[in-house]
Parts: sequence; C-alpha cells; structure tokens
Amino acid sequence: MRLFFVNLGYALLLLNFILYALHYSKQTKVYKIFTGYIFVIVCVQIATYTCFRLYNNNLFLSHFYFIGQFIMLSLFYSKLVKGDFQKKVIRIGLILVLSTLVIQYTVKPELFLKFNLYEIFITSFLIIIYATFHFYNMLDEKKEFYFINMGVIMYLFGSTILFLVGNLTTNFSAKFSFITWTLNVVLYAIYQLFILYEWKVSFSKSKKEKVLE
Amino acid sequence: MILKPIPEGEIVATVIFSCVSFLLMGLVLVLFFYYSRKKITQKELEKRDLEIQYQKEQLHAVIITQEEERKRIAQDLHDDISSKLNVVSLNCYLLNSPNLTEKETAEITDNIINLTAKALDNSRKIAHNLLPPVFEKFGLHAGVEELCEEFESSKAVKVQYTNEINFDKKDIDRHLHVFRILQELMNNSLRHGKATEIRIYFKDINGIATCNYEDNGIGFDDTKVADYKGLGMKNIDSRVSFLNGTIKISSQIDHGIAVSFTF
Repeated sequence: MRLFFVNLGYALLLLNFILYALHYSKQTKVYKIFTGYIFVIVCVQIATYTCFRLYNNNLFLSHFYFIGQFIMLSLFYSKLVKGDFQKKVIRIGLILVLSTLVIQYTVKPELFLKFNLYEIFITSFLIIIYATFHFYNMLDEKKEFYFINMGVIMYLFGSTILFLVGNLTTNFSAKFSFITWTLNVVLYAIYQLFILYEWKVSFSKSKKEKVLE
Repeated sequence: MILKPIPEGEIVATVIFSCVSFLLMGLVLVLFFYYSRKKITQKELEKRDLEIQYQKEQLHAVIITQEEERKRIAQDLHDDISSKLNVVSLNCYLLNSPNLTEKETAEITDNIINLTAKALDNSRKIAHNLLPPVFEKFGLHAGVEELCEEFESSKAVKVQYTNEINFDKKDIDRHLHVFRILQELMNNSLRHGKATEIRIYFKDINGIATCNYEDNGIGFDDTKVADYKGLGMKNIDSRVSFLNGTIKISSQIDHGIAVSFTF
C-alpha cells in the first residue's frame, strides 16, 4: 500500500517534470521557475533514494528539500504576484529565512541530523502566505497557475503538521511511524496530480494552437 | 523491539510549533477573507459608479436630443408656418384698406388662399415628420415601408426592405423606438455615409426579433467606435437598452456599415 503510493508519487513527479520540461523554451519566466522547482525536487528525491539505499539514513536531506522548495517557490511567487508590496514581502522573507537558518545551523550544527521544527514551520508557513497572496490577486484577474496554487496550499497544510511531528515519529515503532509517512506520501501524490492537471488545463494545448496558427 | 523514550522537551516543542502554526494559518485564512471581501466590495462599488456614469451620459444625451428637437421644431414652425401666416395677416390688413379695385382684392385673396394652403401643407409635413400617421395607424411594417419610399423618392438612394415578422400592434410603443433607430441610421447613412444602397431586414431568430441594417457608404473604423459615438449613436444605444435588446455595429472604411440589433 505504502509502496504503491511512494511509487505513484515518484512516477507522477517524473511525469510532471518531463511534461513541464517539454514546453520549457516557449514559456514565460514564471513557468520556467516552476519547472526549475520540479527539477530541484526530482534531484532531492533521487538523492533521498540513493542515500536510503547506501546508508539507510536520509533525514539530513529533508533540509535540502525544505530549503530548496522554499527558495524555488519564493522565486516562483515573487514573479507571479502583482504589486510591489507583495513582491517586497516575498524578497524580504526569502532573505530573512535564509539568514536565520544559516545562523541556526552554525550555532547548532547537530540540528542537521533531525527535523528542524523552525525550518519546517517557517518555510511552509511563508509559502502558504504567498499562495494566499496569489489567490487574493486572482479574485478579479485571469486564473494563472490556479491548480498549482491549490495543490501547494493543500499539500503544505497537511504535510507541515506531519513533518512537525516527524521527530516524535522517528521514535515510534516502525508500524506506527509508517502510518504518518504513508499519509504524507498520499498527500504528495495528490499534490503532483494538481500539478499534472494544471499542465493539462493551461499548457498542454499551447503547442497544438501554435501549430494551427 | 524496545522503544526509545521520547524526550519531553521534544513533545512540548512539537506541540508548541503545531499549535502556533495552526493559529497562524487560521489568522492567514481570516485575513484572506477580510481582504477579499474588501476587494470584492470595492469592485462592486466601481462597477456601480460606472453604471451610474453611463446612465448619466444617457440622460444627458436624451436631454440634449430633446433640446435639439425643440430647436428644429421651432425653426420649422418659424420658417415654414409663421412666416407664411405673417404674410397672410399682412394681406388681410391690405383687404381692409379703402379704395381697392376688384382686381386688387382678387389678387390679395388669391395670395391669402395660396399662402394658407402652403402653411397647411407645411404644418402637415411637420406633424408627419414628428410622428408619421401611417406608422400610428398601420404599425411598424407600414411605417418603415413609407420611410423607405420617402428616402427613395426624395434622395439618390435605393432602399431594399424585407420583413419576415408579423408585428403585434400592442407593441407599438416599442416599435416606435425601432422606427426611430432606423430613421436615425438612414439619416446617418445619407448624411455621413454617402450611401447609395440601404438594406433593411427584419428577421425572427429563435423567437427574438432582429433587425439587420446595411449600407454601402464610406463606413468607419469600428475598432475606434468610441470616437464615432455622436449624439445619434448614443441615442440609438439608449433606445436599444430601453428595448432590452442588444446591438452590434461593424464597419470598415469604404465597406459600409452593418448594424444588427434585437428588440
């Protein structure tokens, strides 16, 4: 069951990466950044998988996942949102979070080997705020990256809590800790489905139309 | 398998972070709702302002048209009737004067009869222009037919008129608007468009009465239609909105104009 969802998640992620990369050259900058985000996630997932096989421990890679996701999505939203205020908030947020994390890890390097609650919380929470900005902007404008935005909000709402309790679950017995991780994997697969749907709705047709023209 | 005991500090930290994150996410939700409402209300206000602005413009156009029409009627009365009646009254005074020969009396009476006839004829024409009696008596179809005949007989233009609708006489008030729109369009075609051919076609499309109007005049660039919206066009717009209909105007320079409106 869990394995099925893990594989489904991976397969969808890979499919999304391929589909988004296909139209890469003809698209806007926002689209390119999002494709970059998928690429970063693919890299982290491959690294995670390899580390798991080689060392049976890949927890430290979660930091790359959170920070990579935060940087890429911050850039994505800073290009996507309208208005100077929102762009400024996103830029300042990015700088502040990265600098505080650098300070935290230099002061307490041992945090690197477990889930860093502050890191999980601040990166997810800021992305949720940015996604809300985008929803707010879309109230009276054209819907751009609408389903991706929905997916981001849903996934982050769910997964943030699961990651926050991550340090506790590492102490659970394997049987119980798997339950929370299966939940996370299911959420992840749903998130990827949203991204896939966005591609189908917004970008799959662009090529055909161009051929017709 | 022996479980490692979970340090209490870890649990407390987790609980605090979870609690704070839920709280803050709730706060984000509330703020989102608050600002969205504000934005939507503002948009609605803007929309209403626009509507009011539009209505004001329409009212303005109606008032100006009314004044223009009054001026025109005043001018018609003054030029065609008052002037003639003046001469008649002068002639009547002349009749009163003593020592008139029979021939002079006959001449003056002839004059009076002629002028009164002309004044009568003119007053009939003015009344006819204001509201054609044929339209009032026989409805829109006959009214438009007569309008077409008038245009054909008096000016260098060919009018082709086709009607597929049986107009109900109960709707004559609405039909008067249609008649006025056509009058305005035809006047425009002649005056501004220099058209030599006009086609009018009444058609029933899925139960909605539609009028198609075309001419072969000089036309205009319909991408800049806002620049061309003179008083007449505004008048047509407000008449169509009275009729709860829609209007579509398309035109190209040197390719005439095509207007289609529903009523």
